[in-house]
Parts: sequence; structure tokens; C-alpha cells
Amino acid sequence: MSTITTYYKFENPTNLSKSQLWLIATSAMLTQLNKEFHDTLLPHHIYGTEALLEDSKQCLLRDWDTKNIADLSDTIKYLHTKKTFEPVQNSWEFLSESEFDKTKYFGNNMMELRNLTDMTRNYQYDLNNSDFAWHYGRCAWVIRHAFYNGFITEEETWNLLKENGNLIKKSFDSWESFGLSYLVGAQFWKRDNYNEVTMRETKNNITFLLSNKNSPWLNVSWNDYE
Amino acid sequence: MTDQQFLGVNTVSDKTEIKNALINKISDLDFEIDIEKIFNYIHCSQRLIKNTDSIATDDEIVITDEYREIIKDFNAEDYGTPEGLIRYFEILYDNPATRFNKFLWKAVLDSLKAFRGNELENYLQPAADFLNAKPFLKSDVLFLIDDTFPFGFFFPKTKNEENKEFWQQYGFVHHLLSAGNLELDLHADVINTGQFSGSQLDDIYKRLMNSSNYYRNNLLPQAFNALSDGLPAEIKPLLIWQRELNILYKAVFVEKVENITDIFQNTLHSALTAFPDDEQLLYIRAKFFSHFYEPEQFKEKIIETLKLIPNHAKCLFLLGKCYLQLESPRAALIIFENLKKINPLNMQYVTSAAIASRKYIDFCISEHDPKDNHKQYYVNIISTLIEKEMFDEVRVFADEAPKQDGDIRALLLYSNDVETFLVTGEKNKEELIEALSLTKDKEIIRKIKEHYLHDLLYFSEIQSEKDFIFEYYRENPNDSMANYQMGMFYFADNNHEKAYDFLLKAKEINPDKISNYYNLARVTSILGIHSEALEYANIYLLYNKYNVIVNEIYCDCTYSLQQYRNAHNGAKWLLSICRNNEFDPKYFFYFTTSLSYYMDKIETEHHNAAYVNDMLELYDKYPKPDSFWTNDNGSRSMYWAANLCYKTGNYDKGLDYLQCILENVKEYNWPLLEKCKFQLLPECLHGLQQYEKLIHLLEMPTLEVLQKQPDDPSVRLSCFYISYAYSVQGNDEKKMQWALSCIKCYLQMDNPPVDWLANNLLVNFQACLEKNMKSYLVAFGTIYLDFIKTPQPGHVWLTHHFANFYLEEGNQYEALKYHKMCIEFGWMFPDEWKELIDNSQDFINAFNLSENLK
Repeated sequence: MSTITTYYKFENPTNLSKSQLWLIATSAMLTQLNKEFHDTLLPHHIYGTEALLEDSKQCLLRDWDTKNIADLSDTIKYLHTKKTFEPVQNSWEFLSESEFDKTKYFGNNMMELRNLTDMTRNYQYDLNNSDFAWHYGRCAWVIRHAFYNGFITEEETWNLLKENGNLIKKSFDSWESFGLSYLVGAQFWKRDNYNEVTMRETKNNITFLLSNKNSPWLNVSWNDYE
Repeated sequence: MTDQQFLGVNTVSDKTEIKNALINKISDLDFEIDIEKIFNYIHCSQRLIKNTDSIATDDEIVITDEYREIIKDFNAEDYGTPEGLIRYFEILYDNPATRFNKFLWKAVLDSLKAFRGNELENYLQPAADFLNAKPFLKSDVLFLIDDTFPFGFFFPKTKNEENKEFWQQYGFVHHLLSAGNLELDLHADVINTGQFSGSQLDDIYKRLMNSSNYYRNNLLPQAFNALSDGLPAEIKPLLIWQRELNILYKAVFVEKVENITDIFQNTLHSALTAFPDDEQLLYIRAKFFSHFYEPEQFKEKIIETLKLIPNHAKCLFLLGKCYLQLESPRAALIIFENLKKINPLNMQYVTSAAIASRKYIDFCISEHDPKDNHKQYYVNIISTLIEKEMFDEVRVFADEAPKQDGDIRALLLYSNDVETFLVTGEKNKEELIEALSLTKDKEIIRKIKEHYLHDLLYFSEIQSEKDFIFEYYRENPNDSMANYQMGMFYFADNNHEKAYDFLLKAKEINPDKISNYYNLARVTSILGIHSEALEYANIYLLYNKYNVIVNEIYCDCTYSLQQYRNAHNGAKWLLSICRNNEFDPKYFFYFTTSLSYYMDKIETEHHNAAYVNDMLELYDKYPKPDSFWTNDNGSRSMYWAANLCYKTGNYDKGLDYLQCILENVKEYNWPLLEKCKFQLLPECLHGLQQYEKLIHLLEMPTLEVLQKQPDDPSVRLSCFYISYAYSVQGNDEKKMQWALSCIKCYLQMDNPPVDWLANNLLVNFQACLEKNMKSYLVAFGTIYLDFIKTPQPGHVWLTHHFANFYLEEGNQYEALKYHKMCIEFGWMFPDEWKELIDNSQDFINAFNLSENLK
């Protein structure tokens, strides 16, 4: 008999409010990457297993240095304040096209700067809030997993998601601008190896989130959270 | 038809002609209905322009005859002084035609080095003062200057209160010499077109530099004024206009500064008056319009601009956005999809294409009339929807499509199976075979077969589909997936060479498919092509850094290529991502061994003991698999952990590891046991100064080895440390006994350390002299003279004392023999042991005299 191997349908099985679904949808990028549930607070809904919990715990510890509520607080603070692409934009955004053209000839010892100036050129004056979504979106996912690991209660989880959600709502005006900012953050993260292949999966995930009927972003309107 | 014919271009190397041809081709086309056609022309023009770029020769400046006479020789007296050099620098700098010619500067500096190479310190202050006054040189020249002069003597190593004034004066020069003039590199040549004198250039470069600094500090008015104040429009370079407009754009539309829209408009107007055809100015104008016009009006404006610059991606993007606002998703989608091809790394095109694609599908569902659509319409749209995994939408179209048609039936069966596979991970192969029997459409067949073979998990599954795979390949020999499946079949069949060929071809056809890199990394790793395997592994890990197999390949390759730092870091990461059942002894081996080898490459004083301790804590923390002690890699990893402890002086912990190995490793792993027991164990015990324990643990086992095989070199270190332990305890007899065993064991080595042995023999010989241990003295002395073939000063000393020893023993003839040897060695080292040589000579003289008297 077949079993569910991948999240697929957006069904809201635990009858969450639109506002709660919106908060969960802010974690959608990592949720999609990890093939988790978009419509329940628990990342694996009722299908969690010991192995999945162990993976989650290992991931929080390894990637986020988070093993309890105190660490979580540090991680959230870091993600809410960290500036990555913004200083680069501020340093190079004013260049003319002819100057940007010259940056293509930076040598391999300046590959990172070459890639970053290419990003700056691509998004010149089009990103109002830089790559902040990369931090805020991952923050929402970390909060959900902290709940899954029992570091925080459900009430604390919703409060933290709201705090994070307020920042998102203030910074962006649509799922599209949120998704774009997240993609730019992923690109910045991979700035040493800036190519199509490394971005492919993230691009596919965002495309799914912006276009598929089972995406949380198509089921929850941007304005469902005030 | 060739691109040249398609676009109607006569000269393929002329970019202007290509651009004009494109403008002509699209001038009468409709930017909504004909948008696909327009992109065909755009892609064609871009291919031609790309070829033009490859035809163009590198126009890097070389020294022409015109400039050759400028180059002066520094043996000429006028230039042989710091003042002369600076005068010459000024000549080069002040002339806009020579300032950026690297070769002229290089010629000067080379000549200076050749003729004044030993006086360069005298030039430091003048050179620094010159750069303070005339800093607008490109990085390549600044680095040449930095390489030529020993500025290390000029700039203090630290910054403090005492040299504060110095740094205020020369800090800028220091920055220029170390970091270059990166920003100037970007615009120096664009500005220097021959229109400006040297001082005018300096003024413009200074404006640009100041403006950038203000901008970076978010002082936008000052950033703008630094460029615009006092620079007449008639001579203002295009780049300055562009920068001014960028600053104003940020102020108006990002920072939302009020009341400066007029300045923006006036500046834009003036800029376009001066440079009416400039693409960037036209784009800024279009972007400005996009904020103020209604979509319908904006569409007219942007199309007007695009008719002038049809291949301007950002303008095309603005048109796509406009179509989205106007609810024309088809045109928008075509634009964004094409822009994704033109610049796959601009993520705006990705998000916009996704939005447009959703809108277009909704539009098709709500607006289309089934009566107007023929079968091919359904085939196309259902195929697209399956590709986008939009199965709810497939069902909408399936209800209206001609379901009795074989192609449609096949597509719907295929769609159903793809959807089931996504949710459950299972395929219904019978249904897919049925689908194949219903259609003759080659593209539908290809897609169904691709899906049929997709994600076969096990090699046995792949092998069982041999006929299917071969047929699929025969039908699609140039398809990336077909080649990939052939590669996987041969991989499953253990034919790694053939697997490599097919996978490589698959990658060449479609370099974006990530599974090609995954499997190429595996195959090349098996074939032992480590550098290539590492390349593929690196690419794959950028995509998915959590894959255990590829991380393992990364460790294998970096270790084999002796990139020990990478191997250690790779293993550290690999251990951190393993689930409990995934830990492999090999990962522990890479973790400790690579770190140890890496440390060998670094000087001891730079070893970071704290880091090593952290790593060993990690090593201890990770659960060891059941195979840890039955697999050599596990015990070897622990040996290297002990070795790391020894290197960092953490002997206690090293001892724990060694005891753990000795308790768990089986006898058959003799080489490892030998290394632990007779090398590292005594070394750690010596480090801890636990000499009683050392003798207790090692004397008997070492004796056993020596009884089995006398002078076995494997126990040489053990003998050495036992000897040392007895020496600490004051047991001279045992000390010498083990010291002699140690020497004998060393002598059995393939390449014994001669210098160390020579020194050790002399030390022991001297100790025997002092303690009057005659039998050992003769043994050490004899071995020294037999074994150390190349005469050393030690030979003089030893033979002299050997002679004295025999004299005391009453053996005058032996004494004479060694005194004579002392004299002979003394000829070779006349400045060493002069007194001893004289003594030996005295003895020989006295002996000869007495013999004569006899």
C-alpha cells in the first residue's frame, strides 16, 4: 500500500486561522526545500518519527547552534539583525553601466566581488529591503523546529512567529517581493560559486511557491496577516 | 538559415550594424502579439554580438614607438636621484596619454631597480609624497610601485599614539599601495578619452571619489553635489550624468525624499540632450516613467524606448511587468521566460516568470473556449502543466480535451502517474507501458520514457530495465537523459569507463542537470581520477551539502590529493551531518589523520592546541559504529587521535587512546599495534615522565620482540625510552644495555638517521668514559667508527679518548693506533679539538722517541 512520501496538498488539517497559516507560510522556502508541511505548525504534522526528530535536533545544533530556548533567542536575534547583501549594495549601487561592465573583468582573486557587483547591478534600486527575507524566512523555520524539538511551547512559538512576521510584513509588500529577497539572500550565500546549477533548486522552490495551487502563498493572501 | 541571414547583417564583426539590423527587424512588429518573434531576433543578435566579442582582439596598451623615447635609463645622470625619479613620474602622470600606460611605468621601475637597486630606501619618502599629491593611478601601476620599493621600511608595523601624525599624513598612501584603486580602475579609461587635460582628469576623479564616499555614508545631497557643482554640462562626461541620476533615483524612489523630482527630471533632460542615444539614460527615463504613468500609457512609452534599444533586458523586464498589470500574462510570461535564458542569475526574472505563469494558466482556464481549441492546444498545455506539477489544472483541461484521442489518453495516464509518484514515490509501470502503446507522438513517448526511468533507486532495478534503456537511447541518442540512463546502466553493470563516457556526454548536453555531477563524482572517484572527481563533488555539494556519499568522495579525493586541511574540514562536516546509522570508521580516519598531516605542514609554534582539543572532543562525542574495531580505519583514526595528543602535549589523553587501541585491536593488525605500543606509548609516557610505568609496560614486551628477532628496528624507540627511564632512575647498567640495543635496532633500519646516531653514540661513549663502563665504551666506540663512514669532528674527539682509554688499560699499541687516527682526522678538521690533536701528536712523538731509544 502506498504511503505519503512527500508533502503535497494544502489542506489545513488542524484548522489554523488564516493569520496562523500566514505565519507558517513565512517559513515556506525551507519548508519546501525539506519537503515538510506548509499547513501545520509541526513541520511533519502527525507524520513525525524518531528519526525525523533526531534529524531536526541535529540540524538545529549543527547549523544554528541551537539546543535550547536561550540559544534560540540568540539565533533569532542574529537573524533579525544580520546584514549581508545590504552593505554591498550601499557600496556599489551607484555605479554606471560602463563601470559595472568593467567589474566583469575582475580576476579570479576577486571572484567574490565580481559576483557581488553583478548581483548589485541586477537588482540596482529594485530591492527595497535587500536580502532580509533570507534571514526572516529561515528564522520562521527555526522557530517551528524549536517547537518540534520541545524547546518552546506552542504559545511561545506563535508569539515568536508573530514577532518575526511583523518584521516581514513591515519590510515587504507581497509574497513575490518576500520570495525575491529570499532568493537574493540565497545567491549572496553562494556568492563564491555563483552559477545556475547552485541556484536551481532554490529557484524551483520559489517558482513552486509562487505558482502552484498547493503552495501556501497561493492559499494564504499576503493581506491575511495584519 | 544562418544568424547573419536571419537578421540581415552584412558584416558580422560590426556591433553597430547588428544593433541597427535588430532595430530594423523589430520596428514594425507588435510587442505583444509578436513578442516571441521579437525574442528570436534578440537572441540571434546576441549570438552574433557574442561572436563579435570573440573575434575582437585584445587592445591592451603596449609601448609604441611614439612613447619609446619617453623611457629613460636610470644610469643616465638626470634620473639617478629621487628628485629625478619624481620629476619623471610627474611627466608620466600629468600626460593623460601616458598616465595609465602600465608598460611605461614598468619600464621606469625596472630600470630603476637595475641601476639603483641598492639605494631604493632613499626613494621611499619622495615616492610616498608623490602618491599623496597625485593618487589617481590605476591599481596595476600602484602595485608595481609597491613591488619595487621596500615600503616595509617606511610604514611602521603598528599604529599608535606616537605615529598618529605619520598615519594621518600617509595612511591614504598605505591604503593605495596595499588595496589599489579599485574604483578608479572601473572608470579611469571611460573618462580619459583624450578630451581632458591631466589636471581636469584629477578634478573629475576627485569628484567621483568624494561622491562615492558621501554615498556610502548615505549623504546623498553631498554625493550629488560633489559631481554636479561647478562642472559645466557641455563638458560633463556621460559617466557623471549616469552617476548623478543613480543618486537622484535613490533619493526620489528609495529614500522618498520630497521635492527633488524636478531636479531628477531636469538632470535627466540635460543628460539626454547631451547623450540622446545612451542606453542607460534611456532606461532610467523609462524607469522614471514607470512610477508616474498608468500601465496603458507606460506601455507606449516603454515600447517607444525598446524600439531604440530592443535588447535592453531591464527595459524588456519593465515591459513584462507592464503586461502583468494590463492582464496580458501570455506576453509577460514569454518576456520573463526569455529573460531567464538571457540572464539566469537575475532572480527578478524567476519570481516574475512564476507570477506570470500562474496568471497565464488562470487566464487559459477562465478565458479559453473549448470550441476554438484543437488537439495540439491540449497536448501543449497539458504537457506544460505536468512539467509544472499543476495536476488540478490538468484535470480542468482533461475534461474538455478529446479523450478518445490516443495522444491525449497517453498524456493523461502519464499525468496521473507523475502525480501518484510525487505523493507516494511509486510508479505504475503497466499503465505507463499502456500509455506508450497509445501514442505515436515522439515527444510524448520521450517524456513517458523519461518518467518511467526516473529515480530508479537500485542498480538491480536499472539492470532489469536494460532493453528499455537501450531503446530509449536509440530513439534519443542526443538527449541528455538518454545518455544519463545509459551511463547509469553501465555504472550498475560495473563498467565504469563506459559509464563515465555516457555521463560525461549527458553533462555536456545538459550542464545544468545536477545528478550528472553526482554520478560523475562517484564514477571518477572509483576510477581513481581524484582531481576530476573533486571538481564534480564540489559542484554537487554547492547544490546539496548534506549528501553523505558526495561528502565522502570529497574527503577521499582531498585526502588522496594531499589537501589535508580540506580533507579534515570535509570529514568534520561529514561527521556533523551523519545520522546515527551513517557513521563510518573511514570518516573518523579522515578527521584525525588529515588534521595530523596538516599540522605536519605547519611550523610547531603555530600549532593551535585549543583547536586540536576541540576536535578531539568532537571525535569522542560522535558515536562509533559497530565496525569501528573490526575495520582498520577505526583503529587508525584513534592512533592519529593519539598522535594529535602527542603533538599538542596532551599526553594523558593520548595514553587513553593508546590503551583503548591496545585493548580492542586484534593481534593480526601488527603494524598498528607496533606503532602504538613501541612508538607512541613510550613517547607519551616519557612526556608524562612516568618512567616506572614505562619500564613496567614496555620492558618485557620489547624483550619478547628482541628475542624473536634480535635488533628488530620496530622497537628502537621503545629501547630508547626504556634506556632513558633507567637513566632517570640512576640504573647505569640497564641504561647502557638498552641504549646499545636501541643503537643496534636503529642500525637495522633501511635508512637510519646517521646524524642522530652519531651524536647518540658520542653521548653514550662519553657517559661510559665518565662511569668507566669499559665494555659498553668499546661497543659504542667501535660502532661509531664502523658505522659513521663520513669523517666528522666527532671522529677526532672519539679516537683521542679511545686512545687514552687503551693507554689506561696498558695497551700502548692500541693507544698509538687511535692517536694516529686522531691525527689523520685532525688534518680534515684542523680547527676542531686542536688541543686533543696536539696531545695525540705529543703521544706519538714521545712513543716514537722511546721506540728509537729502544
